[in-house]
Amino acid sequence: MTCRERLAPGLWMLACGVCLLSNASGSAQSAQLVQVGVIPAAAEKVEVSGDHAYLVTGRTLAIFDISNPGTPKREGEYTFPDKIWGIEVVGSLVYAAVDKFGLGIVDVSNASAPQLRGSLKTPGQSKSIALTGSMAMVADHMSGVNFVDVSDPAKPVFLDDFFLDGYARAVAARGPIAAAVDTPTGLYVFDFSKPGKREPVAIRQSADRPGSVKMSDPNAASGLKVAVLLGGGSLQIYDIADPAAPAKAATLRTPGARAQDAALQGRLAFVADGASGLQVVDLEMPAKPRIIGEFKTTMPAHAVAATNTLVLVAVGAVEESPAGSSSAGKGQVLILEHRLRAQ
Amino acid sequence: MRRAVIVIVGLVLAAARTSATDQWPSFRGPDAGVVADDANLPDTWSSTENIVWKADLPGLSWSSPVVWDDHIIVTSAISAGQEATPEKGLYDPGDQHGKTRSTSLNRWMVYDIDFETGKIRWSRELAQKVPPTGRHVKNSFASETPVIDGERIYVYFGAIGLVAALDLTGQTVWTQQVPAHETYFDMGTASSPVLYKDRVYIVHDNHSDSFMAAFDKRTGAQIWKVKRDEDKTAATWSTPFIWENDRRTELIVSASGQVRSYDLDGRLLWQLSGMTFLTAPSPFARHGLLYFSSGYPGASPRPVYAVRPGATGDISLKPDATSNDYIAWYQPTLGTYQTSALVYGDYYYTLLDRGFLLCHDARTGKEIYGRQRISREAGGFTASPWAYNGKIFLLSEDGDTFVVQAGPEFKLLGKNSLDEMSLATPAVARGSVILRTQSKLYRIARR
Repeated sequence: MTCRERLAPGLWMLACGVCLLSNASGSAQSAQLVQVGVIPAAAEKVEVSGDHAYLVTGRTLAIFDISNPGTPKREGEYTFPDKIWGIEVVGSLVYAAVDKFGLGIVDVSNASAPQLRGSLKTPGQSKSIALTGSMAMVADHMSGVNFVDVSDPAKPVFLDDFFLDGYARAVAARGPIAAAVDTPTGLYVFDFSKPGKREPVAIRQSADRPGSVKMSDPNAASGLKVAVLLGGGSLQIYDIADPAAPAKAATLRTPGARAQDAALQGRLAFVADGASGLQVVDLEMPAKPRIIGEFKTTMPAHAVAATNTLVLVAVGAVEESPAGSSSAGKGQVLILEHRLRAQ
Repeated sequence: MRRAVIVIVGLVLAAARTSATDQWPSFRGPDAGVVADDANLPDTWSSTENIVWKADLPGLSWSSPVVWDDHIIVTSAISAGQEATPEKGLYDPGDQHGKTRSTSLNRWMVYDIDFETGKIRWSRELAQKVPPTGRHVKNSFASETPVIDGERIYVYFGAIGLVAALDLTGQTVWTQQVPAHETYFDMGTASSPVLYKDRVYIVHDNHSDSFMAAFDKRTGAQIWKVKRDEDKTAATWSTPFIWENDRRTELIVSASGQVRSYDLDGRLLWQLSGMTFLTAPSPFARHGLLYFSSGYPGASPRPVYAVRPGATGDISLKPDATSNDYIAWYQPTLGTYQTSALVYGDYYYTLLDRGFLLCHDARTGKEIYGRQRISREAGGFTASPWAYNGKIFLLSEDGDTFVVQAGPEFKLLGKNSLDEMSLATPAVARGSVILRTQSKLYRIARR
């Protein structure tokens, strides 16, 4: 039973009184959001996989059971020696980009007692991580994109790297297609379905200070094939239907002009937009992205993760405790349920 | 006949004693890192090989040593407290941008080290106070390289606004106090003083009152001071350059807002826009061209310019242009963040801070070879490259000097390790490399 199925049947009726809707464009559908729970912990990053939420604060990865979103339960945590800049969850493994520590792989099969399975130091700061097959891509501040064989999580093996002219900020991958971004302007698209060197099939120096990149799922029913870059307070949407010829389809300035993180789910992008809370953007037509919903938060939103039913939004201030073992501050992670509703 | 031979030999020896490579009077020496060939200069070294001596240096400073005869001059700032530890490499320091402030008493010091023995001949404390300004964790409060002319040593500590001259016995000849302003994100200062004829020039670009000033080298009297419009353009750590060309002598200041050429009385001759923010590489000249650059990796463009003499007014490139009447060539993405470029022979070598070497034709800007990874073992680079005997020397922040063959083909020849963080560009004089690491000074020579 998924957490969606465990929601009280009447919750959506009740939710109508608290959700905030927007349909400025008058489109056929709008996004409906309702808060169904809250994790009372601050987080800089948040990911969700199955019935678990993964919160990152400073050096600590904390795991919460959200099988019942109304009563999330803290299960365990793992603290690295350095700051965690990004994570990706695949099955029972969490792959983490951990500053000068490098790539860390944490086994969370027992969520109450996460264990480090393996690690690999990258030349500089590991800033972001993405998995494509059995290969991890790590954005490294010094050396660009590092490619690491993680087929044996206990023994990650460096394969190769690709230097980026600017500062490597983020990587993302869906299937064999991957992307990296650097500041001030770079987008690099990789296609690992084709044999050859681990080099981009396309480079575009047209982005605006990209700090993050997200990829749509090419196998999703929506058929959407885009890379969404966040930077300069906006969403920069690139059509990557042909990975070798990415084209900027649109730039969308969000109401808060603070688009800091996004989660792509089907044709939707859930965007953490600072003081403007959560914005829901319909990317069905990449050249004409439309905001079709929002959820006002009482504290600024800075991180987001999504499943096909839930959105987790990290809001508020984050402070790491001196010991680095737990999060502090006024922040929390809101658990929302989302659905599209016909007008 | 015999007497004539003796006279000639004597003249040759005298000339050799006073050749450029006998003295290393300023940052990067008299020829922007290029040293006359000398079979005595070492190609290889380690902590035990070819080390004539090593000396402990107190405090923290990333300024370079300068050499005049048997005087090796170094500066330092010694804190009475515990200061933040510098880290190697280019890294994202987080939301605080690497800012650090000292709350401890610091002592600003000048040392004269005996070239032969490595012993401290004298030391002079020029100031003692809590630094009024901040610095980046990777900077120091004494990053400006002194300059020496055989009679006096001229120092500038931008962190406390102190300009001073000492004689070669360590006696203070004069001091001048100039404003010490806060800098961009508390990154601190590093632009070294320059000496030309009877004047000492300093530049202090900052967020409130950027200026350049000239002082009488004998008395310290301020001859002139001009305001520089750089308050809104972030930091400049580039050292000014005196460009003696076939038209005139110019004072070149490379900065983030504009590169400006002044006459020796501070009057503007020409200016150029199009640099990137945070400018550290220092200008220099060769083959009748002036070279300057900037290249913070997180910004664009990262330009390199080669400029001909004789310019006036605004010589900025028009959009999409790569040359004009005065700009011989331009590369929009070749600039480095910290290291200055090297022109050795016909080639312009670029040492990227993250461990790559590139080579271009110095006269045309045409690429000879593109990005070559120096070594997977190489960390970051801040010290500028130098060259002699057909070899280029690249000192990494790890204290490893990678030796590369000069010329149109990249070839790594070796690595010389000293196992300590190194950001200062070495001096090369009298057949020795004088290399400063975080806590030590080495004299390295073929033994």
